[in-house]
Amino acid sequence: MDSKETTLFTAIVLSAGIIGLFIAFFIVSLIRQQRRILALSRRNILEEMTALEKERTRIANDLHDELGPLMSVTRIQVDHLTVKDEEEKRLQGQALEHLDNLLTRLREISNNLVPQTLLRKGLWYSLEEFVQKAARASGLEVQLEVWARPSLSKEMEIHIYRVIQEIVHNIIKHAAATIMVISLVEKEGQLVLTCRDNGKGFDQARVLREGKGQGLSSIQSRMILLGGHCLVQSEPGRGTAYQLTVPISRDKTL
Amino acid sequence: MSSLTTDICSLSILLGGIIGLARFKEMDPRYHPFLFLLWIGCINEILSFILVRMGYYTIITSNLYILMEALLLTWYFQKMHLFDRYPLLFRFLLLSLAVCWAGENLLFHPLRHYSIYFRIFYSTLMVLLSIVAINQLLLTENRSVGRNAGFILCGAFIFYFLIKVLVNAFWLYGLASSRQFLLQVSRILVFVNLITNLVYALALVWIPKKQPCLLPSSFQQES
Repeated sequence: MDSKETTLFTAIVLSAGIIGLFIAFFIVSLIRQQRRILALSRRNILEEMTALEKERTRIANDLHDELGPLMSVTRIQVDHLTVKDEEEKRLQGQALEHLDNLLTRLREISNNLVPQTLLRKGLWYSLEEFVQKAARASGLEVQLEVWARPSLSKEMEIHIYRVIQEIVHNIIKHAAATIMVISLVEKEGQLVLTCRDNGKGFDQARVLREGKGQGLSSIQSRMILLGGHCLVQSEPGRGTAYQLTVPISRDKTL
Repeated sequence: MSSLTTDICSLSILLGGIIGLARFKEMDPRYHPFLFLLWIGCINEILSFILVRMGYYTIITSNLYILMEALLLTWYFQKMHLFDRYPLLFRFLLLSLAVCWAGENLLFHPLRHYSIYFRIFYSTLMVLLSIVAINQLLLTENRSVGRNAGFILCGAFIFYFLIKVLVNAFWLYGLASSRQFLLQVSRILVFVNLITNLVYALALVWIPKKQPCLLPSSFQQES
């Protein structure tokens, strides 16, 4: 090589080296930045979820402690009214029936907002209870297969319960299914939850294009908090399947 | 640089090829185009190794390989959902790559000539597609991208193809230079190739397993 070629060759080597260094720096800075953004986003979701749970607890307490007793007293008073004829007796009976329905609904709403069974008896018992109630209310055949009952923190139990609640509500509302199978398995230090239905399914590509619904977003937010992974598969006419994988060892960090 | 060093650097692609072969069945199928590219790369390097030993030029096989590389990588980006919003763009890119390659290698000059314009064109395209893919990953990935195979591969593509554009551009400028100069320039790419092949092998280890099929086909008869 002559001197001109040697200069050109040195210029090529130097440029290639500098470009390589810039790319390496850029990639490392991207990874670090993304980690920071993920941590920030996780903190925001945690704050949002904590606020949501607090608000739910406040409303449930208000319903249970203030409206509940007031309605019970009203029921006793209506029951003790002196009725003069058959028409008044019929009206009193109807009023008592409405009050009983109201009290039942009040308890149901309060329990949906903050499941007392979850707080008192833990996730596994409350799941069985929730699934039974959902099956009775919707006419859906629900099979709950719990193969593992690892001990989890209260926060984790609430998130898992809410995720299952969201999935079951989604299936009842949109899937037009007749059978739903929920299974919980512990595998390689992870809790694997699978929910499958035989409903009408949906076009995944279209849903992704049009943006996720509120239910799926909420599931995803909770999975981010749990450090887990959510996989949804669906095809028109072939039902929908959800698989949620949650690392149990992460539980301590929540 | 000795001939042995050049051979070791070039054949380093075999490492990725072997890892890919071992993990093929369990691998996420979205990465299959990349794996096919690696295997074709392995065949190309072995063929080049033999041809050089027999005293033949490798320009024809190399020109054919870059066409495969361009098409397979575009397919890989399509599998990574880069063209979901613009499905026609995918077809357009495939067509333009094929037309450019054919234009240069069949009309502009014969296949036995080094196709420098196509190399610059497709390398630039791969850098641009990799940047878009990295941006998409940063927005959608809920976990750290540090161990994400797609992210690592895109980083490697940017590194490899950007330097390839640079070297080829300089090569274009120095086309009239001596054979010794052209040989030295091509050796820069051999080193870049080695680094890229090692990164490919690392990414192959971190490619996720394919997702299980969860859809309840067994329900269909029951309902």
